[in-house]
Amino acid sequence: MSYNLPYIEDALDGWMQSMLIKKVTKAIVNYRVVETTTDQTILAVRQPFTTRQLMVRPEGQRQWQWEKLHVKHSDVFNLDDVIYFGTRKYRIFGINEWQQYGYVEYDIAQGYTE
Amino acid sequence: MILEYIAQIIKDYMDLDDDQIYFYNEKTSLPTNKTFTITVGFLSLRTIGIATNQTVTDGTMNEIVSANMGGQVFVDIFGRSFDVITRKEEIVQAMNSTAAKEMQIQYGFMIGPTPTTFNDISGIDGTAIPYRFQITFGVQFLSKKTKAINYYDTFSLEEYYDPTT
Repeated sequence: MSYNLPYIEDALDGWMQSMLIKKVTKAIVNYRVVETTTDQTILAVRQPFTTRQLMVRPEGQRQWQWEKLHVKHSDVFNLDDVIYFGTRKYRIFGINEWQQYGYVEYDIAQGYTE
Repeated sequence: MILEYIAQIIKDYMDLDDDQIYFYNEKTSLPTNKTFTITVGFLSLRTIGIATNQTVTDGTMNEIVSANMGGQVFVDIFGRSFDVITRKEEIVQAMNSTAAKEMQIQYGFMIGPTPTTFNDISGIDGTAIPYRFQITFGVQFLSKKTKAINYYDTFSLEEYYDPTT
């Protein structure tokens, strides 16, 4: 009996949508953080947190706009990266790397906007 | 700005990369691929003296307000590498280097010759970042701002005070 999980990237094509996002990366220039925004098109699925997933968050964070983001394995973000969906700003709070199976799962929450 | 000068002195003396030293509270993630990181910030400042002078340049009246500031600047060095233990003294050495003296002459500020405190503050991060030191220096610097003001024949009291009300 094999316990290997299937590589499901191709199957995800029918589930995911193409999304244009703005990815914000940080760099230190002259001892200050400088943010650079680049447009990126990704294949992804956005889903709100379930009630159970919200309950395990610290109480003060439960009213935040939490979402799960599943993306193809080639569209990789880092922890604390900032991404925009339209004008709404989200921050990467958690990463579950399932790249061997064709996708990556992120916990994202809506951040403050300037 | 004095923090920029101090960061430059430390960066050059310790041969640090651009992302290894930055101002305190820059809201960036802690790097995981470096041996250690340094942040620089103000601990406390007080105004030693203020002077207001007027000059006329090309027919324009200017005022120059100079604030003589003194206080403490802190330098945090932290990371998982043992380099934090072995290289922390380089911060003190950097502040007393020839380059530091040249920069103080060039930009008109003063760094106290010896740190006022040299504290192991690794406890605040628990065991995640075991090595962390904070070194505090006395500093003195001048902040100067020039702004155009009204000359006596263009000055209007009514701009500030209306006697009818």
